[in-house]
Amino acid sequence: MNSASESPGNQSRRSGVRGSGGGRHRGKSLASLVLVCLLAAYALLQPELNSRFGWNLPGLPDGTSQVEPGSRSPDNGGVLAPRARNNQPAANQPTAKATVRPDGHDADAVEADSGNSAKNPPGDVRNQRNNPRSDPGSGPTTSDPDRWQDYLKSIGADRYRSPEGLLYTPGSAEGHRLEHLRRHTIDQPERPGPHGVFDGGMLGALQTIDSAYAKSKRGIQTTKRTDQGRTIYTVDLGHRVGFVGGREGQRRRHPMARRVRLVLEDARVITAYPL
Amino acid sequence: MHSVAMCPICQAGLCGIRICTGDDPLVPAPRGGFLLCDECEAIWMSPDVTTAHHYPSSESPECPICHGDLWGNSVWADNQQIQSLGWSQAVNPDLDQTATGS
Repeated sequence: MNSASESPGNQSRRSGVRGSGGGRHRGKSLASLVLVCLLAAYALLQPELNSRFGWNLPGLPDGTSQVEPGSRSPDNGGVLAPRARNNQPAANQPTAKATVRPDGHDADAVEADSGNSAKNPPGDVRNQRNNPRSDPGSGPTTSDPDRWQDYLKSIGADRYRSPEGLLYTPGSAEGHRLEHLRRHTIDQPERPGPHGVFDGGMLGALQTIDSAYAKSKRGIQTTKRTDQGRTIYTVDLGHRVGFVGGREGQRRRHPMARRVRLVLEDARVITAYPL
Repeated sequence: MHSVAMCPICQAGLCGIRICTGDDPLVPAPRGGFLLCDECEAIWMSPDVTTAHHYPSSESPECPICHGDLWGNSVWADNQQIQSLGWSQAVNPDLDQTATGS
């Protein structure tokens, strides 16, 4: 009765109020829709814009953001090192493997998974963590996702052959040449003098060394010196293979390395490093 | 690790002073010192890298003093041991670094 007898003014006021609330609601819905559309468009375009213009637009915080080439995909507890710029290595941290492949991709991130101890070669340096010879500062890390083990062929106890015929055998202060080589996949900023660091972790190092050896056998862009059964090759690979670290590298702002020095005894690798 | 020079052979290694401990690494009395490049493993028997060098066996390296296992029977010499060898003057302090390996 009361409502039926309500004045048109009251009705219109109420409907007006109702109408304005609905409009506000529609407005909010529309804004939300626009926001969602914008976010979706951003999510779609962000990688493209980053890659096309070299921008560094942040990804959406939903776990879908991409690791950019040159930035560190962490095997060091999730800590990202600063981006590599102008072919400079990322700031070198002793605990981080600042490894960027020549193609710009992080080898460890690409090759992540492994961790299969059954696949570790018996002479895998990971099996020698308790070896008193091991250098605790540069020894094997607990998470090494490289699949470099697949690159080498086991030819006996603790002996491995690369596709190019190089032999990696026990020896060196670290107990195995592969473990010594591992030192050259990580910068040692406090080490006096230069310290060559290969791009691409262990796998990258092994592949680069093989390329250098193949080139040295053909005598291309290679200098060769022999000394008491040792052969020392210096091979220019013509592209970035790593960088110069150590104190000297730090002083020189980590110049790019495109040469590799191989110290061999026949086909046995004594040491190899970029310079 | 205390070094005398960068390695003139590989140009990347540090020629550190090692000291023979014989079979027992706890024996304090040094038997003799030598230089070892920590990269290419060239060995000098005096603290002068311009003298003759040689290489140990790559797979079964021997200590040049006692002919036992190179890595088991010798260690990087500390300051006191270097002093006892009379090689202190040869050390290049710019090349000092914290110990790497034994």
